[in-house]
Amino acid sequence: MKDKLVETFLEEAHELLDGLEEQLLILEKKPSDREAMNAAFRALHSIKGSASMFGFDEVGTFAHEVEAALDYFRSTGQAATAELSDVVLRSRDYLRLLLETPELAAPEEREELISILLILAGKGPKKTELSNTTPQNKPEKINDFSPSYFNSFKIKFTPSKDAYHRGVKPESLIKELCALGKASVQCDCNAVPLLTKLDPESCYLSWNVLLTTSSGIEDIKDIFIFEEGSSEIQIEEISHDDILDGYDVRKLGEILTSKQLPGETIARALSKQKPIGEILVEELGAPKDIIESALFEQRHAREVVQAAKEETERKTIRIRSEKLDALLNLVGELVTIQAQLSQTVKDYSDRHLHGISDYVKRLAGELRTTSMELRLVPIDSLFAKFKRLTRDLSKNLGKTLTLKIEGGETEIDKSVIDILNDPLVHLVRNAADHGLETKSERLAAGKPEEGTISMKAQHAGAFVRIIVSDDGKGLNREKILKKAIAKGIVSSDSQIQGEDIDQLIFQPGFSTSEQVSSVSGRGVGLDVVKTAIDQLGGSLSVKSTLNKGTDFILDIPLTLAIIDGFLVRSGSRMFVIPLSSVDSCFERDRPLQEERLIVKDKEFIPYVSARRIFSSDETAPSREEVVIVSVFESKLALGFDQIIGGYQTVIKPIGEIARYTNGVSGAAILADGGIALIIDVASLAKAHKTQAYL
Amino acid sequence: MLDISINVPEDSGINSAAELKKVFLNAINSQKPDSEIVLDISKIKAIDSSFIQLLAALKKQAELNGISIKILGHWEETPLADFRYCEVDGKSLMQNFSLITITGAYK
Repeated sequence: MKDKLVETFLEEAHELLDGLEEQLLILEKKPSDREAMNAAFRALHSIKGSASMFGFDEVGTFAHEVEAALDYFRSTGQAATAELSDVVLRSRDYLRLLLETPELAAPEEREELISILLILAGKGPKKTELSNTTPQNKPEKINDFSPSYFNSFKIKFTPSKDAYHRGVKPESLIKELCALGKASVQCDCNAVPLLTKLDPESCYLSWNVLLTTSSGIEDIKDIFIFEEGSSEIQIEEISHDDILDGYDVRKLGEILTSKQLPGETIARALSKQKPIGEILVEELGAPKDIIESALFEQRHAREVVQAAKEETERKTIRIRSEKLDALLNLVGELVTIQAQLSQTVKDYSDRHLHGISDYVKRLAGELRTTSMELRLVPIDSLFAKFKRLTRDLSKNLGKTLTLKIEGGETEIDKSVIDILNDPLVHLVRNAADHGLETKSERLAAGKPEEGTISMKAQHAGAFVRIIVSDDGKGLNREKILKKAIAKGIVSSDSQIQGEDIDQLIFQPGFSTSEQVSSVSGRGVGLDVVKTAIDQLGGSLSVKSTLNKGTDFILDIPLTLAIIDGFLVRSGSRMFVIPLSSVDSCFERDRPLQEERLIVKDKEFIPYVSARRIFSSDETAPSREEVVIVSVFESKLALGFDQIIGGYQTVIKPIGEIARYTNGVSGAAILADGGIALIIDVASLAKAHKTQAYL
Repeated sequence: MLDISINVPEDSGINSAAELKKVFLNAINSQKPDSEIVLDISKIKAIDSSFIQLLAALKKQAELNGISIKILGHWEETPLADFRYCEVDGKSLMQNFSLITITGAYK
């Protein structure tokens, strides 16, 4: 049990460290981003708390020092300096080391980091003694209006006396306001006179609202737009720091101090055994409205924090990926059994039995979809790690680099993400080291000094396309060919040209780097990346323009588990085509001679018969079923003997066999226990271009 | 002392505020100190904030005249519940009317 708790702590700590890194990278770019500063502080605060609880004392103590430095900047309203971001990033790496391999965490590094942190926290020698080359010696005041995830406002609404006469329903406006976020409302009836003096059609009420919302002040103003000029509306943004301390609600005394109530008075009240608010009003003559306002704010802060906690707890649940794998395996088995059931039921005329079978089919389908979705995670969780890598590469290589991320919300199977990490690291390092020029080279080429690496992701049917590109010098074909000849990859009289030369960089052992670099390794080469992508059932290609840049294009299957397929037959063999790749299908007389192209809807489409690809010599029927498949920009027409129909299937790996079977990515067990090969449309389209199956 | 019971009408919004004030005032004027007015809110179907201020004015007047007020009916089951977020003097709306005691409805 304890091990499981520790495991959970470690998982959470790693997530928090990743979050901390992300916020620090934001602070490096926007030193005044108050929300990033608070988020970084919260991450450290949480690590510190849980580490001590689980016996990771060293982690807790070190996190405390880092937190103190951040808190100094936070509480004094200073913007983050480059020095702070740098030392906290290094400390973050050190914390990671303490969690993963404490034996490798050098005490000297700890001491060095702590000494810098103490100086930054205002507890050590003066800052100038540490470094007088700090770019921002003058701390910049944090802008209170920096964009943040949520804002808090204090709104006072006093409708005009004639509001009811004008048809205004103040409570409706308050209701609209509440809909913007988490609100606490007070209705002030103090101005209501005695019944004898009351004009029942005049409005005497006023409302105080504390609102915590992701909306801005303009959204609030919009609600009262028709009351401007008639009623009294005061909107004031309040600082979260006045009511919150990280995720903790500030004590009443602290809130009152921020309201300029003398500290001495508060201290006297605190020394008595009665509620502080009561003592302040009854015994020490503090203004009642200030106490009530502070209590109101404290209660609101408590509710906001509680709501945020509940929201997080309600929305997420932590499950080990092995459990999801086990669930998916079971669902896979269920899908296979369900297919067998449907097949068997066909021989019976019992309508009731058919109804049950159809119901099981539908349930199995829904279960399959839901369990697949459980495994999908946004690719941003992978891309985010590259911000730090790019930052470090930028420093190590002395190049100014920026990383652009697009399509981070694209979802992909968790297991695919795990495998993709290393190939992408290789590609990004490669782009930074070899692809992008030095600052002087870029300026000489008329390019901006800053080099850009982009990572884009987009869905395309059953695939996710990831493009890693740079705006560097592009591939030098002359150099590549020369190197390939020198390495014996191609012969000196080779006629290879154009884009085909570019593909040589994926050959084993190929490296055009003149020097071995610590950044992109020892020229292990892109063949390793290509092999990893091939093993995923995906493909890797390169497009490059000299002096403009290079795109590495990875087409990765969305999932490695279950697919909706299209069952077809050629001779005695069965095949499954991923349904997402199927464009259309039609039947025709089998051509007497093998064709290379067919015309469909005035479009020329490359054609190949399955009989030809998979070498079938059985007698062909006179009619042929043609399935047009598409993958990204390419279309391909495939000829089969029979289309059987939609088929949901579990992908079973065929391991080594697949390496030598072009156009096949796996196998499926059929309802009758037979086997169908799953057609790899992407590799088939590619093979068709090069006639590789000939 | 004879108590007065007032049936608060179904629609107690701004359109009936003037009429309701008269009813409340008549009730107050007809009662002597230490007597009781019972407000039966169980029939209420629609109110707005004008009713809230009418209640506040009634409370203040009753307090001045030494009359106590009881509420009959579960306010949570009436549109008054929509105003539960309202707080007066740090107390919820109904708690604030200290002279109003919530009792079970006579059904």
